[in-house]
Amino acid sequence: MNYWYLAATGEYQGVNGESPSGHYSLGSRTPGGLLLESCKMRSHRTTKNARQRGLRVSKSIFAILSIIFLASVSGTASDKEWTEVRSQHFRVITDGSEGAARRVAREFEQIRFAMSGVYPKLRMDSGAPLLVICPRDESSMKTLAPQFWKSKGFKPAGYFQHGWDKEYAVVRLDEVRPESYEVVYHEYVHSVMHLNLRWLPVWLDEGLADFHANTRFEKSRIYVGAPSWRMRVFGLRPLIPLDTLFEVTPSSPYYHDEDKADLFYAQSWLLTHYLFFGQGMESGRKLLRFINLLDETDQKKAFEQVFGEPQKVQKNLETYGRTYSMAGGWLNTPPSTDEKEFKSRKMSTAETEAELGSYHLWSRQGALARPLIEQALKDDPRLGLAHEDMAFLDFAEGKDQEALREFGQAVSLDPKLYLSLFSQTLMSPITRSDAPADQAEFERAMLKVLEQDPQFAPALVQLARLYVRQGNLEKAYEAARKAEGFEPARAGYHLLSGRILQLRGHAPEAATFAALSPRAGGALIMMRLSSSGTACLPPSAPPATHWLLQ
Amino acid sequence: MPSAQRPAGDPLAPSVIAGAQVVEGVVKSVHCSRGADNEEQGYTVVIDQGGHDLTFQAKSGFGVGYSDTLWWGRDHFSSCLHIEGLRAVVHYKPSSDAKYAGELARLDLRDDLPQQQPKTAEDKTAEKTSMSK
Repeated sequence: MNYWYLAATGEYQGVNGESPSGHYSLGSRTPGGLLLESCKMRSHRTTKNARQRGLRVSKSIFAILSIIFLASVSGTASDKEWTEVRSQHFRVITDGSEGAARRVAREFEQIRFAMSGVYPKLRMDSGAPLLVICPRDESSMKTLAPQFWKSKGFKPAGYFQHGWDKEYAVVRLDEVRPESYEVVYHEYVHSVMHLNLRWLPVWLDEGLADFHANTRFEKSRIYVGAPSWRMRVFGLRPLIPLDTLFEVTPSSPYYHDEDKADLFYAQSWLLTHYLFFGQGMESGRKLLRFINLLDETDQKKAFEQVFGEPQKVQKNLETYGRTYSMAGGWLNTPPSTDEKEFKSRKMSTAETEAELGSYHLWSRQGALARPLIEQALKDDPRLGLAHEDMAFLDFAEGKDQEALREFGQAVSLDPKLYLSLFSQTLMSPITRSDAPADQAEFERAMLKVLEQDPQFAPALVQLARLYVRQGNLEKAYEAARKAEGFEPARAGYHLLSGRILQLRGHAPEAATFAALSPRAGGALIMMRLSSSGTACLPPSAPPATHWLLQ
Repeated sequence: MPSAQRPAGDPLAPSVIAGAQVVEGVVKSVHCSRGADNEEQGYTVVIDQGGHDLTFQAKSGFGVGYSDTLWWGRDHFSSCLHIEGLRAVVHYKPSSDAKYAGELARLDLRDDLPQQQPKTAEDKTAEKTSMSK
C-alpha cells in the first residue's frame, strides 16, 4: 500500500504568491524574525504498512485503553532510574537515551511553536500538565501498555492519553519515523484546540488535528501542512458531499464505520488543508474567520459567508485532492527549542516508580499502578507524589479514610502537590460547613491550589459553589466564568454560570448558557454488556473525552 | 419565562430513550459486583424518591451521565463509588422482576448548586449599612 509523505529536501518552490496573513506574519510579530512562508511541497509515494490504520487506530487505542486488563506483567518499566528532560514547556521522561528524549522535547516545542504561530491568540497550556513518557523500545513500551500486546495486530509507536488532571503522551524512542508520532500530535492538537474552543464541527476538529499532526521537523525548520498519508483514499472513492460532511457527529457512521471513517478523516484533512492553502484562502485567514463566526452563526451559514457556495468549494476541493503538488508552509525553529538548552537530571528509583505509577493510575490500570506505587513508598517514604498516587488509588477503591490520610501526607511532604490539597480539602468536612472559619479555610485552600496551577478550573468551580452558598453571586459568577474560560469544552461549566445567573434573576441570559450545555452539562459514558449476557460494567469511566467520541 | 424573554432558537428538551420512563430521586446506595477477573458483573442503584426507595438493576448496557462539576472529575469518576447523595435522573424500562422498579437504561447524575445559607443578623445589618451608603 502506498501513502504520501513530505520530502524534506530542497524541493520547495517558493512563495505561492499570497502574502502571509496577519496570523501568519510571524516575521513582524515574533521575536527572532521568524517567518512562515507559503511554499510548494512535493508529495512522494512510499510504502509503509502500519500507517494504513493510523489515526483510526488512535480511536480504537483509547477504546482498548478503557478496558482494564489484569495481565500479569513480567517486569516493570522502572527497571532502572529514568532520565528527565525539561524544555521550556514540556517534561519528558525516558529509560532510553537522554539525547533522544531531548529530540522528542524539541519536537513537542516545535509543534507547539508552529501552532502558536498559526494561531497567535491560542492558549497553549492546559491546567492539566502534560508528561511525555518515552519508553526506549518495544519491551519497555509493553510494560507501559500491555493491553496492546494481549492480541495480535497493531502495536502503537505512540499514543496520547487525555485527562482532566494529568495528560500523557507516550512515544517510543526507537520508532523515529515521522508518522510514528502523528497519532500523538493529532491528540495533542485536539487537546490544545479544546482548551480554546467551546465547539468545532467534527470535520474541522479532526481536520485541524490531522493538519497539524502532519507537521514535519528539522532542527532548523518546521514544515506546516505536509501531505497526509490519508490521501491514498481519494483515488478510490468519490468525496463526501460537503453538506453531509458538515453534519457528521461523533455518533455518525462516518465517524465509526471503518470504511466510511477513512474517507471522512481524509476529506476532513483535505478540506482543512484546502481552506488553509487553497487558492484565494488568504493563507488560512479565511479559516480563522470561519472559526470565529462559529460561536454566533450556524455552521452552514458561516461557511457560505466566508468561503462561498459549498457546491463550488466541493468542486475546487475535488480538483485540489487530485493534485500531486500541494502548498504548505515553513517556520524557522525558534532558539528556545535548542535541545542543548534543555535541563536534564536522573530521577531516583522512587520518583521513577511514582511517575509510572501515576501514569498507570491515570490510565485506569490500578492493578499495574499499585505495585509501582507501593514500591515507591518503600523506596522513599517521604516522596509526596507516591503518597498522592496512593491516595488516588485508595479513592478509586472506595477507601476514603485512607485516601484522605494519604492526601494529607502528600501535602505536608510537598506543598506543591495541588491535586492532593484540592482533594484533601474536598473530602474534608469543611466543604459542607457553614462556619465562617471553615469557609475561610476552604477558600484559602482553593486559592492555594490556584497559586500552584492558576489554570486548574475545578478549583474555580469549587470557589463559585462556595460563593453561592455565601450568597455572593457576583463573585460566584466571576469564578464560574473564569472556569469556563479555562475549559470551554466542559459543558457543565457553562451550565454552572447559567445557574448562577438564574439565581441572580437573569433568566434569559441563563438560558443561553443552557444551550451550550448538552447532556445536562456533563459527560455520558456507556456501560457495556459482557458477552455472556450478564451486566458488565466498566468499573469506572475511561480516561478522557475519547470515550465520548467512540 | 415569558415568551418575549426567551432566547431565540429551538427550545431545549431533555433527551428521552425510546420506550423508557424517567424518574428522579437521590442516590441512596449503589452496588457493583465483580467477577473473578475483576470484571463488573452486576449493577444496582437505589434512589430515594420522596421517601420511597426505588431499586433499579442493569441487565444490559446503559449510559451514565454525570456533571462536569463533580469535584473528582472525569479522571476519577466511577459509577460505583461516591455517587450517594447526588440527584439522579433514571431512565428505565419496566422490569419483569418485581424486586426491581425497573431496568436501567440511563443514569444521569446531577451536581446541583448548593443552597444559599440563611443570612445571619450580622449579614443583614451589613447589607443595610451598605445599601444606606
